Amino acid sequence: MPDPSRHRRTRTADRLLGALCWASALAVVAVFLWLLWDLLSQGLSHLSWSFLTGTVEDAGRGGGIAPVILSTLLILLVCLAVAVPLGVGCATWLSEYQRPDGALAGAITKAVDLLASVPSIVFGLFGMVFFCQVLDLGFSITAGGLTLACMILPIIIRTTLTGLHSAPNELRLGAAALGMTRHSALRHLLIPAAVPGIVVGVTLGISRAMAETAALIFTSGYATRMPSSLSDSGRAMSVHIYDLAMNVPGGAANAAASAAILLAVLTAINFTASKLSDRWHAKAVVTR
Amino acid sequence: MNDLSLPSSPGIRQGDASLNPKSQPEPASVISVRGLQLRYGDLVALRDVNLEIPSSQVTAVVGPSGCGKSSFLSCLNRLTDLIPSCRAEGRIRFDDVPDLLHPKVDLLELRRRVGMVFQKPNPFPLSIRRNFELPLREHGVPKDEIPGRMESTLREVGLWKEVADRLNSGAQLLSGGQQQRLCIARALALKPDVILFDEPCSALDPMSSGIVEEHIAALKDRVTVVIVTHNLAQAHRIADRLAVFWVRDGAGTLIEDGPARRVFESPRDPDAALYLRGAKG
Repeated sequence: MPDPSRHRRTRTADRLLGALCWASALAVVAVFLWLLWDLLSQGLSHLSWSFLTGTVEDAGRGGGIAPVILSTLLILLVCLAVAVPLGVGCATWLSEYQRPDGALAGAITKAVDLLASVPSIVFGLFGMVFFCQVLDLGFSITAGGLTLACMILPIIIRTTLTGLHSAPNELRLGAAALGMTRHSALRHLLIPAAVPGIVVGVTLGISRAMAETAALIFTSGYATRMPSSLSDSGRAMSVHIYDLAMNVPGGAANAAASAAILLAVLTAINFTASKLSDRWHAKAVVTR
Repeated sequence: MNDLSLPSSPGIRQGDASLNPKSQPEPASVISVRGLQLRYGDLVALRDVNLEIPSSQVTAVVGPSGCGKSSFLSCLNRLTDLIPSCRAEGRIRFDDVPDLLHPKVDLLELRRRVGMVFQKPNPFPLSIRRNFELPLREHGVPKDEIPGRMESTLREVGLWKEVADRLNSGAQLLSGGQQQRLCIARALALKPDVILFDEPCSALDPMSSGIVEEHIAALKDRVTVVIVTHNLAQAHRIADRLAVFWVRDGAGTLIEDGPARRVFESPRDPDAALYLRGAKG
């Protein structure tokens, strides 16, 4: 017979563990709710249609943030247009065209991991020297987008690699045994299998890019006027929030309002991406 | 059921004919393997394999685990190329291809002509229809020919009636046995000369296994079949020729081959004799 006191002890430990897990989960939710409350309580009164559509006035204390939103989206567009094809291409090459123990593949994987751990301010300085000065792009949306692309490249490569590695090897063998080209196996079988991974990478990349300040101040600049082309300087939302909170006395409320918008945009992008990927997946790959 | 089909074992009938091997002219071999050696890095997996594979017959490759049966099979369609450290040496003549191990051989065409069915059914995670469309389009079969080929090969493996109304649903929804028959039909649709089977029944339940086996045996009228199997009873039922592999000096090699009935009844190699009697291996 088991000792009853011992039995009680293990049950207490069980309950304690359960309570700790609950507490951690609640703490995470609480932090998020507090953040949301903080943003909304300060910024909600400033949120209005004209805030979304107006131009920046009085260094951001007044007016709206339309040019900032547009600049942010343009920077993101440049960033993704470069980072996604490059990242997916690089991951495909690493996973399908190189032996995993090969020297070149090893060196590139190391480089990707190193790239992922570089602080964003370093990307900012690199972007300023390389894109703005050497490539003569100046303070521009293009320079900012390219800098961000370098920054999120490792995320996209890593998640695509994980996606490709999770594709069962039977697909490769099966396709080869039917005399299919590697290109066609990739296009019809392996890349579709990796799409969930790629989507995760892209959404993570977008979140990282939209939250970025340090890499953008020196590259896309902080001009608040409406950008008319990709070679214009443009202020990203996070730069705007930073500037209002740090450099503009009386800008805190508009900073909070902008942050609420940023959060809303990020949520919307995450939601759309996962919905799109689900729909695409259901259409292209029948698994159920 | 008509009475003629009751003892549905073509292997036995062929075996009867081969009881008297001298009166039978040796059938022309479609694949002839000479001095094949296969290495994974420094490890020798196969050494000095010489084997003639006659056309329109079922050649069963048997032997204990790890004797290189599956590796041997992968040499015949060069799937060994997909394994980075794997190197095959020797000569394998296939029909009009003097040496299919030659680096300049058109692998896509070789693999169309030498199909393969794996141990675990591997339909693509797509619809049944797409499973045919992908490889057939790849080999330049015109779009309007595809439904016909799909239907006739699905009929050949007895799957048409079961899937005719669900061609657009996922192939992975089928049962294991159905999936395996789908894979056989998919390989057949490319009109191959040879189909390699790598233990095609061992991942299936006994019922499905029996059905798949019947269909494999029936294929030899139109293709040459090479089948690796662990199951001696299965080899007995369907094989016209038997090739016994064994591990000698740390590497797999062929120790005996010939008409199935002769090898089963009077094997010349002592290891093969013990193995076929079930006493060793």
